[in-house]
Amino acid sequence: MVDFGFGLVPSSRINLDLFDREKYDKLTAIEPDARICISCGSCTAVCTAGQFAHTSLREALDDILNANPDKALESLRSCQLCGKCAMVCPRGINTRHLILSIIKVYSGE
Amino acid sequence: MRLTNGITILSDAVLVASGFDLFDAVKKEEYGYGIYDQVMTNADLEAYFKTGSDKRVTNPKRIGFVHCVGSRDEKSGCRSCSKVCCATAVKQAIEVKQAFPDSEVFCFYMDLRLFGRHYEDIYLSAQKDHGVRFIRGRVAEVSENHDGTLLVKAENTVAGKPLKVTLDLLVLMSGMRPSVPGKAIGDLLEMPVEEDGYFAVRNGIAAGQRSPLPGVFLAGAATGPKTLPETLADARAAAMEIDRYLTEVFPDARNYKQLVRERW
Repeated sequence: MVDFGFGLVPSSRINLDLFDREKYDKLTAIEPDARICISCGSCTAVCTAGQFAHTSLREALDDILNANPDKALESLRSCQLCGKCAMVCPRGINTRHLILSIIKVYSGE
Repeated sequence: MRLTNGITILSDAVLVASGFDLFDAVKKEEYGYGIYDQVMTNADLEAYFKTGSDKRVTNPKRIGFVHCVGSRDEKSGCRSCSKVCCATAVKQAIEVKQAFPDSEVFCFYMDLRLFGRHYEDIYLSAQKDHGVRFIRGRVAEVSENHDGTLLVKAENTVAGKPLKVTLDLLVLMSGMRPSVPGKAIGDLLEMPVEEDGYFAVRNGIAAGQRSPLPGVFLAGAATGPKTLPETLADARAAAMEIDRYLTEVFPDARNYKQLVRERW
């Protein structure tokens, strides 16, 4: 595309061409449930940490798919692994393992 | 009735099963069907699966599906949902993934209307077993890059952000429109048509196979978008309705008018 030297601020636009497929495949290999989220938002609504600091598994998964893993890690930073989200997830996702897997794959620890 | 081969038939009942036309995707100019090389419709893709050859499908790495093309779109003159495209898109997305396991598949949807038995299972399987990515947001515009790939713009309404992605192939899920040749038959019979362009029925719930004209029956997509099982059930129901009409109402010539008033 022609570069006119102006455009949307990078942080406010999703560019799927930057999506890191290798890392995502690594994540889905250790936690296949990462794929089946339907973005219903139940996990975010019941989150105990979310009462005090911005915490959202739904957003984190979206951010990973939208090629913004740093923001995903930020959304999970306050998680206490209480597991309330696992109780309400309509797709039965093992959310605690998913959160730990995301941190493992994307923070390089 | 006079058939096209010149034979004239005298009949006591007529069943109109004139079907539907596929929405002409050229009308949605912003998606570039007929303008850009790498844009095709659901019917084109189905033809590709059947014949195995289409010059647009050359080992694509990134494929997009656009739901609701010519459906739920008042601007293109169709307010209604075409019913089958959601399940078809998910099915075709899985088939594309199976044909090209290395590819990435994106489905751009407004709502996923996967009603009915087993449809939700197909959706779950598309996500879980095939890794199809579902993005909520209608594709706004498509443009072509110098190398022939497509630049697709949409909003990810879940994230609340505009999105762009480069794709090798875009499949438009064209919806159902009332049949144009069917309309010509309807005009011959002077059959009433509703605002959406499909034939009116006597009663949408209790008499879905009877037209407002006594002796004229309807089945299938002539009375609105229908799935395959619905069409089959409709055909069976219409056959039974005609049987009832021919045995109970029609032969009683003396009381015909009264019977039609009571039972049609």
